[in-house]
Amino acid sequence: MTVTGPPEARPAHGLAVDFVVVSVPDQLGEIAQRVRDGRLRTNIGHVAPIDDAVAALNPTQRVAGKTIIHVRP
Amino acid sequence: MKAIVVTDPAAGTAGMKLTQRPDPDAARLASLSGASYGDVIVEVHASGFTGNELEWPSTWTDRLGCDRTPSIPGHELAGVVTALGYGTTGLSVGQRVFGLTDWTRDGTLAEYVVVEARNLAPLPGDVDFTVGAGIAMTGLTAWQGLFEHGRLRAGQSVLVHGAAGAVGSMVVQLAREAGAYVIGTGRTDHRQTALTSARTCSSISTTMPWKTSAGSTWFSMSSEARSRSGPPAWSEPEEHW
Repeated sequence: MTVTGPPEARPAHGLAVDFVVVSVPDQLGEIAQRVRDGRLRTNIGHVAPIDDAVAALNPTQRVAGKTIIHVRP
Repeated sequence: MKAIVVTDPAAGTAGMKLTQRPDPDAARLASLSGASYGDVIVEVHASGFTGNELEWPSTWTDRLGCDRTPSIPGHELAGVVTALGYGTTGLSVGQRVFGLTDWTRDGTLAEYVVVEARNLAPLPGDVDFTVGAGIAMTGLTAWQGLFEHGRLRAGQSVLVHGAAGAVGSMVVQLAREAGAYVIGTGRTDHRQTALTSARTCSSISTTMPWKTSAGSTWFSMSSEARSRSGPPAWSEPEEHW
């Protein structure tokens, strides 16, 4: 299963799937509910304002977690 | 409005520029004249960008194959609906929402974005915008990979590369909840992240790393293995827990 591009090698006895994510409200609701009730912990790393977004999205060192840009403070 | 734009496919993220772009036209959106049936305008509060977006053809050309630069990247958002397009149902002005926007249209690294209402979900009042933007792409990728494409069932095993990453940690948690046996790979120095934030291992045997009842195993990829191209390769497991 890959979302980074088509697999370079096909498994001999299996199925390789390359897929594009779609925005499905029902699934978003399931995910949000899991965050609310503690079943799902988020992995958010650096948070930067939009004025600093270009630098935040061009990190000079590896940043753990998802980078989020705050467009409104 | 303030926005990040890209104009040169060869420049990568270094080509991003903060600039001014026209605000979406709410009056046109609400009329019958535009090709915006079912769209809403969202005031973006938090935005997420996916690392290889600038390699996607949809960042540079629209569905007709026409150049759409300057493009606004970032397709993950949480924000507030400020205007409804003609024919929109299910959302109201002032509603908190989150989701992903169309890959072939201007994105969310901007003060406002036009997005199809059907791509948005209500964001509960106790989930902040940062979290909303942070779980849209990572959560949907994990969900669709596991349950739609992978058709995961309880008792199956899941190998998660980059298990401490933004998507990987979602995959680990959702797979565990679904009753899967989860094996994670990643950097040794990220093991603690996987342990604490993604709950990779709640009941692992230190003596039998491969077949414990319902736990997870962590394999550390050597830096040499990571840097090689081609199929994933990893070193002998350095540690188990």
